[in-house]
Amino acid sequence: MRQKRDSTVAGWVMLAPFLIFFIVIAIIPIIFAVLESLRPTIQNEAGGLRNYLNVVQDYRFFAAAKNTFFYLLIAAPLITVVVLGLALLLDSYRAKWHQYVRLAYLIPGCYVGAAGVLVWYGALEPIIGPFRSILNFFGIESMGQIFLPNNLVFIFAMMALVSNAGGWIVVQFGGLQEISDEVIEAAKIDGCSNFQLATKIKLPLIKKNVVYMVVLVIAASVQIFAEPYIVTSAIFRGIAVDWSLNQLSYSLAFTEGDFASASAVSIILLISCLIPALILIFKTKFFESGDESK
Amino acid sequence: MSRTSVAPKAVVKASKKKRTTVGAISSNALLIFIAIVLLIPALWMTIAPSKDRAELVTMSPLGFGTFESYITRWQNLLLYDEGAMLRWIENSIWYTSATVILSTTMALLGGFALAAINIKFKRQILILIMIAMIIPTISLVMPTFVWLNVLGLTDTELGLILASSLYPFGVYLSYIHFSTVIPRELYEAAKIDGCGYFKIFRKIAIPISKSLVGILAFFSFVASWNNFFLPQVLILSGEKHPLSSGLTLLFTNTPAFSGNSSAILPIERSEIALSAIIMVIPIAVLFIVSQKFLSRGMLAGSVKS
Repeated sequence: MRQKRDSTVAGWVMLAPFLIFFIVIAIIPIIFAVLESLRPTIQNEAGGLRNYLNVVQDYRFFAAAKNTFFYLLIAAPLITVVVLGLALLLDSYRAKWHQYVRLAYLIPGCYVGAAGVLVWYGALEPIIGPFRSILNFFGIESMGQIFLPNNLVFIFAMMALVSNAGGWIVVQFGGLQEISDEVIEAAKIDGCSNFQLATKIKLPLIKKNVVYMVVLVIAASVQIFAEPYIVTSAIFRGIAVDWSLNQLSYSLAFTEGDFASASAVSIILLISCLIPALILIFKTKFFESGDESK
Repeated sequence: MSRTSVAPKAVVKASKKKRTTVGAISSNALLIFIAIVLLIPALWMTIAPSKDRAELVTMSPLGFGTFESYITRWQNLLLYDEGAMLRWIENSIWYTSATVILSTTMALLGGFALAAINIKFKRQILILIMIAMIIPTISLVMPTFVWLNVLGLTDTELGLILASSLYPFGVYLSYIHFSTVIPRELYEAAKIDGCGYFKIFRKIAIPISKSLVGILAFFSFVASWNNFFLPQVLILSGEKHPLSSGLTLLFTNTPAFSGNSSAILPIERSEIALSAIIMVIPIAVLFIVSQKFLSRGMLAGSVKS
């Protein structure tokens, strides 16, 4: 009995730093943001839930939500298909030197934020960029022909693909390697083609990892901020002002000083990430091995 | 591990083999082509500072200028805001090291406690941690700002370091590690020998978990070094920025992209490229060194076997 109590105390003491942190850096901020989002604004002196209605009716909200949604709609399937395709190819035709290929895929993941935007600036630059002859061949002589408002969603989706694919390929390839050799051999003896092997055997076996990736990619896509913010403030001034919902939240707070509306937008975004997270945990049982108590 | 080595060759028919070869060649060609396309822009950025403004246009995009040019670019970069570059580098190193130490320590302790000790609400705590590791930290940035504003911690190093150190993924990773890699009997045996949990943690668990410590530090380092939205929101004064948000200031406040060559500062696209390389180098080195750890770490959710 005595020993049990000691061990419980030790457990809580060890867990305490993280738990306290979690409460102070995550839970309390969320509570404060919710309270802040209900405070009176210039438009709405009474405050309350009406702030949410006002923010959703703001003309910029619809545009930003539309951009964010289309970005998600393009980026998530693009990343999923490319990552799975390349991981399956790497798995089907294995070679020792592929480790360098995987490393090459990882390299663009190092360039994020300002550095990432610069690399893309270079790649699409028709005067000094490394692909200038190809771009010129297609009649592109200036950046203005590429960085058009309607193209932005594709450019940001490509950025997300290139910087995230490498890491996820490593993950999915790792999952594919866990599949036992007997399963693959049995399928091959049964006359399975490489394509059938990939779609009928391998993919179903790594389904959990795929779902995990899709949920994380969706959650991250909803929160896009850095790329449009840097492009619009540094590269092409004003091309993507309030382009994403996070940018809108940022502008509301720091250009207009309207922290209530800014908080309302961030709470809406938080909830839209919470939903896929809860689905992943409770519906797919992805973590079932993790939360069993022993 | 390797599937090909155990494949009974007789099974594979000759015609099929031929088809496989064609498939292998075209697949490998595709894999290599993509790798090259991905590496070219990175190579371009690495070479760009070797050339000045005019040479960027006149020389071949991947042609190399001179090594001296890198030094000139660096000196030009230092002209921005009285050597702000140096302060940003210093800040990045300081913020990132503090964050890595703080977050990794908490993750190790928390994960160990959850794995080794039967505490109440363990299941509930684990579910909370899982939710927190799926939700991107970026979604907490504005709430964190509102809260740190109340505490008067915005625009402070402490506020930024504390806010960066929340690491639910790390706790989960070390929980999985400590509950799979270390057999439960070891904990029991140590306890019978009169070993307290802190002693087990220090003397047994940590020494045999060096790879875990490496993975935790790796992900924490990358996340903290690259974090952009958090410092962009929390840090208001120029001299406190880390590289990530500092570079955005540099991009915005110099003539590099506005094309206005009559501006006072000699900071052009070559200089900007050098600044980006400085930001990327630590991460690139880490990626290359620890490539083997990556799959294991990122797959944490499902590798419990």
